[in-house]
Amino acid sequence: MENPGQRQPGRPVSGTTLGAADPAQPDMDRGLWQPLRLAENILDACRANSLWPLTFGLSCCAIEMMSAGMARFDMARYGAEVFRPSPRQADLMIVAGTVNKKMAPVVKRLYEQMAEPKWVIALGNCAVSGGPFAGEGNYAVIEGVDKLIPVDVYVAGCPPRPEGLLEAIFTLQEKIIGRKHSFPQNRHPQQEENT
Amino acid sequence: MTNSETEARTFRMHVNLGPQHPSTHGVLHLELEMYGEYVLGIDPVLGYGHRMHEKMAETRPWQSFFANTPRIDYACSLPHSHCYASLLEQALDIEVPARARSLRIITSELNRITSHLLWVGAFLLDLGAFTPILYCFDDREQAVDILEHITGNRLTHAYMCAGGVMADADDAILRKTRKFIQRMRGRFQIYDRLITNNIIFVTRTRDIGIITPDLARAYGATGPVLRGSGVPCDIRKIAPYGGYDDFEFDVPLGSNGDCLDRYSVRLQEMRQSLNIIEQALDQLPGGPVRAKVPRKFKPAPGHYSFSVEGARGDVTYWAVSDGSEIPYRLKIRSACMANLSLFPELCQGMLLADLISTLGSLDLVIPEIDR
Amino acid sequence: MSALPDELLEKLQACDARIKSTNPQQGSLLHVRVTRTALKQAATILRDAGLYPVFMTAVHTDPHIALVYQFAASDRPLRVLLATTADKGGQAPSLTPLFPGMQWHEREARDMFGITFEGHPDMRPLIMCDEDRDLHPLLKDPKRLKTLAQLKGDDPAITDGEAP
Repeated sequence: MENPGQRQPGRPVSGTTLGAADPAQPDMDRGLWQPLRLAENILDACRANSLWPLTFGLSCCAIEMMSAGMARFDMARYGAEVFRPSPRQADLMIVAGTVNKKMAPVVKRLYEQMAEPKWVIALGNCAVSGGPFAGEGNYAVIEGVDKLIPVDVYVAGCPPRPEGLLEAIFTLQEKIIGRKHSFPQNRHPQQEENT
Repeated sequence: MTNSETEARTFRMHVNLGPQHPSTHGVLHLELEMYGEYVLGIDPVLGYGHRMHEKMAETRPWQSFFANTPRIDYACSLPHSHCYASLLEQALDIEVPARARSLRIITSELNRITSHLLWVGAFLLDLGAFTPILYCFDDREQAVDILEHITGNRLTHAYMCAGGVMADADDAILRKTRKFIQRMRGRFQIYDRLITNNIIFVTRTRDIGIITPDLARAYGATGPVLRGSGVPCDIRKIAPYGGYDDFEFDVPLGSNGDCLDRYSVRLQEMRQSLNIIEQALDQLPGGPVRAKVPRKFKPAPGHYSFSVEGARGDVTYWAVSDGSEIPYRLKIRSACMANLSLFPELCQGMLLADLISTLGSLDLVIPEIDR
Repeated sequence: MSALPDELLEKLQACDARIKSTNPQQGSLLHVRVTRTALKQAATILRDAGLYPVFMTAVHTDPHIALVYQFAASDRPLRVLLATTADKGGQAPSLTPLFPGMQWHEREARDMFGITFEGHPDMRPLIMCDEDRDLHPLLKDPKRLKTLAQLKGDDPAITDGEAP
């Protein structure tokens, strides 16, 4: 099986809506458009290593998201330091907690207010699939935030450890750039042997 | 148009604070009627964190609700589990072994410390200070490590069960707890230098958001909100449960009822919690940590009530049983709901910045209000 | 200082209440059952005794919804559970004028059970979203509905009350 982290030629992976093969987009692997591919690669690397999360803690997972941003787990070293309260200034929405029927229109509106390119991490079981509240007799909880907005990375756990959120950031960076740990200082020694 | 007419037209605003806002501590939505920077009226809109806990209690067996209790107030979850476990023990006449009682108190007080540390950090973050939250979370991680070792989870510890606790704590972790107590006692001077004696913090919290004892009592506000106003109401002292009357500790009180008093009360409560944990470790008996309980819980028909002191106030569970293994009704009284309900009356005429300060000082966890 | 349990007992007798006094683990608990008409009078006595409102909730029973209020003293281990029933149409008097803290509890009871409170200043939904305002999720399936007699156990204060 091919390494799933390798970028497929002709298929840019940045952003969520412009990512699919869009006939209006120039094919950046051919001819005169090739310098654009280089520019896009550089921009993707910049975007991936400086994701600005939206402060969007809804319930319990918000505390673990805060812990991931604090000194011990420190998301800042991976670029995702600047939590912006305004969706206009954020490019990553970490849905941390349960989305219920009353909150659903708010989630949608915030997602629509974010500018492209934007990504979504569903943190915790509630955002992934409704969590402990899904099931018979459920009248209020939306079973998974992907019923409202497209999600890029899912993190399971109730709540997931802060390391889970860090791994989600890495997975998202891999999705954006095409390779995991693109910068030399971040390369894991064991992975070097494998690739 | 005259100047005052222009002013009246342009200064009046209807502003939405939340439900997505860095300082609403979850998903609180406040609709503010503002006149310039002054708040004329507040209308809290709740329900963005409603997760049907009371309905879920009516659809599954009594013991299954222990999966919900940590998630109601996730910042200080063990008192909720303690309350529900004690309610079942009262209903089913189960006696908890002595070691389990002490472990319950040790973990509950550690959880109170983590909750107050989280609050101190978040409160200062609301006021605009970023450094204290880093120190608070550093200390919090030490306590969370211990809780993770004992209970298995960093946040939603489902550690209590009817009849005792889920697992025993070994000597190594208890030694680590003692070291944590020593370390934490030394850390308070950092908080005093960084926060308590900080002129900006004091100016932003002294005489802000004064809650009188009558106002608090009329709305049922309890916990540090009531104690900050000088009323010595702590269920651990008034109606001791679970072995709290074996330990000596003070109940810190404020005098003025302002934000600074509520902050001081919580800081002192952390010190008192460390004292309780130390005494509990000194007196920790051996023995089993779980009593034998029936396989299916079928409390006799009737109603049962139990109250504990959570980090935010009086947490009461009231259950109605029809004799079957599924509860007929479970009412969860959330401390934050009463604390927030006095907010509209309190905040009329305040500056917006003071409103944020007061809202932070109430220590709210919105999913506890919405259940 | 809150009133002692015995003083309270005497005053509450005047409301034609059925009272049971118990001493569970956490101090004395008075179960007081009053008629709907005497509810405000009993609540006034409790307010003057210095108790604070703990909660207000309802239980869907057959044939009328039972209303339950709990009050507590802030300086002694005393709790009072006040019970009554809503009428056939799901109406009850509001205690918000006496205890401002009851306002949100009564709004929540409206959301969950559909009870309307006479004299409540603001009966908008508190917790349910607009489209679910009439969902009333805590009302029971008729198959699982029980009467008060089936739920009372050995508590003589809770009986199959009238509901005028």
